[in-house]
Amino acid sequence: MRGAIITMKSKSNSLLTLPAIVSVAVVTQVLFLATIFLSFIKWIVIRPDLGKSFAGIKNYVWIFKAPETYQIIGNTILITALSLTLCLILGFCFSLLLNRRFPLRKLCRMFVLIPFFMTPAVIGIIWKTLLLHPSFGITGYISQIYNSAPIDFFGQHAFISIIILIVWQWTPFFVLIILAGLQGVNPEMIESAQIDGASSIRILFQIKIPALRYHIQVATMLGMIFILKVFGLIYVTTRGGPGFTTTNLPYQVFKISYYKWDIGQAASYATLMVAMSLIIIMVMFNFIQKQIKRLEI
Amino acid sequence: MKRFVILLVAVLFLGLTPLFSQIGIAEELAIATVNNPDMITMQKLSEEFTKDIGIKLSFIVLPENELRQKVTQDVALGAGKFDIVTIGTYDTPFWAANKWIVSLESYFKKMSVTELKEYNRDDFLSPVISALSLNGEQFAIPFYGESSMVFYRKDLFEKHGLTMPKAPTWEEIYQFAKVLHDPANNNYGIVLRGLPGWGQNMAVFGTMINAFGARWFDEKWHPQFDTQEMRNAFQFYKNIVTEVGEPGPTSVGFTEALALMSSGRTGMWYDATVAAGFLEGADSTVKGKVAYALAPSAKKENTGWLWAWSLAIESASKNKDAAFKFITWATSKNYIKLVGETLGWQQAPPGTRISTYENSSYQAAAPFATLTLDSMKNADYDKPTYDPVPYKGVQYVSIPEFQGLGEQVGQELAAYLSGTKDLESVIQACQKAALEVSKNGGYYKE
Repeated sequence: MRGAIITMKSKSNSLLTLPAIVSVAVVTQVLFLATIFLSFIKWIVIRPDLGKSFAGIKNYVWIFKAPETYQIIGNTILITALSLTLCLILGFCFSLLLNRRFPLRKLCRMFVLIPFFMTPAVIGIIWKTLLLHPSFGITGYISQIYNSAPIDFFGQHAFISIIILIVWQWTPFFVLIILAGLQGVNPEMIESAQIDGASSIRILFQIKIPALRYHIQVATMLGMIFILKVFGLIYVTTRGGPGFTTTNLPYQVFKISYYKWDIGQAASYATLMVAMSLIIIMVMFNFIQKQIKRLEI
Repeated sequence: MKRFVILLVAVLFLGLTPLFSQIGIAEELAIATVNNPDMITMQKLSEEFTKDIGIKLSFIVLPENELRQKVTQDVALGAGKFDIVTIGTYDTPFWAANKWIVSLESYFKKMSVTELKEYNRDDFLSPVISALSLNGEQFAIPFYGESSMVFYRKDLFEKHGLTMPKAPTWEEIYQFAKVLHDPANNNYGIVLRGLPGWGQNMAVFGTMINAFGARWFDEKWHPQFDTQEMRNAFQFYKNIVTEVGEPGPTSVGFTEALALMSSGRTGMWYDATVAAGFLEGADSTVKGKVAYALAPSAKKENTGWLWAWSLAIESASKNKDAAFKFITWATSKNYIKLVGETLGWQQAPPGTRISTYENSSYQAAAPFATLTLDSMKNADYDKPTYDPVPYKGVQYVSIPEFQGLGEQVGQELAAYLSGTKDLESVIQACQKAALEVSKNGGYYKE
């Protein structure tokens, strides 16, 4: 009787969660399934005379035959990996500094966090026009003072410049998460370690970092998801160029959609992007889990 | 009984509301437009239209790229969100062929004799109307038009003993720039757009392609990037920009180039004729110091581009008659007079009507008027290149696929200018992209 009641309660609990499950499934999966469907269609919006037809895997064959695809995939992975690494290191360093007591600490925290709350378009315009522009930017003015040729950041060093902007925008996100973790570290543990004669470096690697393992995991996973999708910064600054130098998968999907108007090819790139992102996230997740287990031993 | 009465009133209210909404309230037109100064002026002055005609207007103002993306989606998918769209000479012919916009001929026929005479269709510049027509039918009305010309500092030319011919060659421009180039004092010989984009660096470079005797495609739609003429054009553009032009050219589009010229940091600038008004504006430090010359030539003459932002009516619009009233109001002689008398003749929309250039007030306010008119009248829209081609358009190829192709070639040019790619790689990449467009678009002939 009690078992039957429990079973009934479980079933009714499941039924109660069904509307939420259906809503989430519809909102998240319908568009993705539609994208996959469109990737098998030949549809060029600006050529209605060519009609829409079933293309099979032709769109995928095209994108894998195009040499720029490999450069774009490489850009996406490199931009994400380098930005993530720098964000993690800088975020950690800033968190350690902001965890100390010093005058105007709260004000410093606010300034460090500001970039995270700015929209990517604004960040791109400020960096491109006011800071790094060879003619109008501060760097151009400095090179004038020293009588040297201004540096063309977004022309000759576009890739590094994009990484700098991403790191500038996303480091505060890592600071937010890691600083919260640092503030939860038991100060008595650190005091005991200091009394036992442990150096700062040893305290950092053997007490603080292990204590922050879950925070680092969350920051890394979320940061990777956000950086993989970077679009606005690239659109406003380099537009994926020069050539394909700074084109990542999201920008390529946009370019194919709104300049070539080839919906099938754009959907193929979008599907590739989702598949690649899932693989990278899973690999990263397993790697981090192994590191956490190693720290726990 | 009481409940029944309340229910009956509610049903009647809901049922009759759409009817009531039509009585005594004017139509409302949704207008998608680009965010340049002439269009923003139109938005400001459109209250006069609503006062006179009683039709409300709702403007959606966007930058050029975003406008084209939004409007193309709207027309292609038949959403009908906009009644009036602002499109260019590039879009009009194939939007008309796709039946995304309506022919205006039937609407012109509904105008009375007096209205037609007052409006005077013959007053419009014929190359512009030709670019906005398909099979003899007009599909859009030009709101403002432009070509391209050379702006140069007459004071610096005088100082260095230089004389600019009315129709210079690119080699002459290069030699002048070498004399004027003074980077130690933050002054450059010439500024040219390098910002990648089919509406940015490719607008300028597109005319250079034609000037140097190159072409995008031959008569059989075979790509022509892998030719000596095209290599000459690419090499010349890089030489002039990197040797005597502004630093960081790939960050310089129309806005940045205008800022450099109007702040007195460059001796010459080749770009859209519409910039002349800004250079003579109150904010310009070079007001009164700028003179003008025709677009430079090389193997080919008459290389100035042709462009007009124009107003068209979407096929899916439910307010076509009202929309026609607005677009004829906004492109009438009376509107131009309204702008001239309200905001100054310098701000009158250029490049559309001959009568604007015959107006003495406009001539007095716009010293560049005569050369602009010459540039537009001489624009070789139908035969843009030295050798025959199967396409029209000066700074673009009038096919729908050009947006993507022009964007990619613009990026390759930027890569070449910034030194991240060599000429041969750029040429081969452009050739391959053009071949794909030609074959996939069904243009290629064996």
